[in-house]
Amino acid sequence: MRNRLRVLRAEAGVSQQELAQRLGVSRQTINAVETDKYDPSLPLALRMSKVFGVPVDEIFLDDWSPDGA
Amino acid sequence: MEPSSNRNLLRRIAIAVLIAAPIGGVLGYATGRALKRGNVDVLRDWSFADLSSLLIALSLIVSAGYVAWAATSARRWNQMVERLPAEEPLDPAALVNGRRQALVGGLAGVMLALPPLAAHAGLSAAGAALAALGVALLLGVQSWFNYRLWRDGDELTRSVIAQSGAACFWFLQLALFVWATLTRLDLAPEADGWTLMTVMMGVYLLVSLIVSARRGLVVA
Repeated sequence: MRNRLRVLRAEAGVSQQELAQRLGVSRQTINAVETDKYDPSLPLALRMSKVFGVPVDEIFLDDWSPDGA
Repeated sequence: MEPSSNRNLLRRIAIAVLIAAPIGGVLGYATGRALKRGNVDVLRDWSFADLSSLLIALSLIVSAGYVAWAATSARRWNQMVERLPAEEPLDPAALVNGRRQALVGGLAGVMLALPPLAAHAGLSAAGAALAALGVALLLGVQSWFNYRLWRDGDELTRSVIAQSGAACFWFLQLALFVWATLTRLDLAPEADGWTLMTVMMGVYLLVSLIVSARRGLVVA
């Protein structure tokens, strides 16, 4: 799933390693999410949302809509 | 993954195959010629499964040695495994994890090599029992460190382990069913336990490497 994690992290001025430590995961996990190689679990996505102070759907971009438009 | 990332990965794999395949072919041919000229009778008694398990064991031990060497310092780990600048800060847990992975891989290699080597060494019944005991002890140690890798790993590590296991089960049960059907119908020879184990290890190594590369744990 496409996401804005790299942009949000750059705006906050934190490295992958620092973000990984705050979230309790490895740097490789942050890198994998940023490069769209891995979709994080819901708890991790929620933690990211809290760290950056934005809703989850401002980090992860989903084109799906309930009315199929 | 973005389509462009997929294309880049496929291009890198294609380039690697184009470079590695001729080298492997030449090396294989040279090894065959050398064995033929050396008249290495000792290898004639070895089954394809025994030789394959030795080859897999060797690759496990060599790659474990690479990871163990990389895990001796944060600088090496950054350069050799993560492909990052040497001075990049590194979580010490990554090094601990790397050492555990090296130990697990190295022990797997030794355990895979021991049975065929012991079988061809002409051991007595007591010697064979001792070899089996040694493998059992190594298996206990290796299983413990494998468990620690799972327990201390984060969600990406666990996801890669779980996906590799699921994919392997799917491929192997399919292959086993087809093989068993063919043998039941007398269309294929029976396979012994060691052959099945060697096939399983080979498939697991390949699948876990592909899953790790797709998830970015192995820099392709």
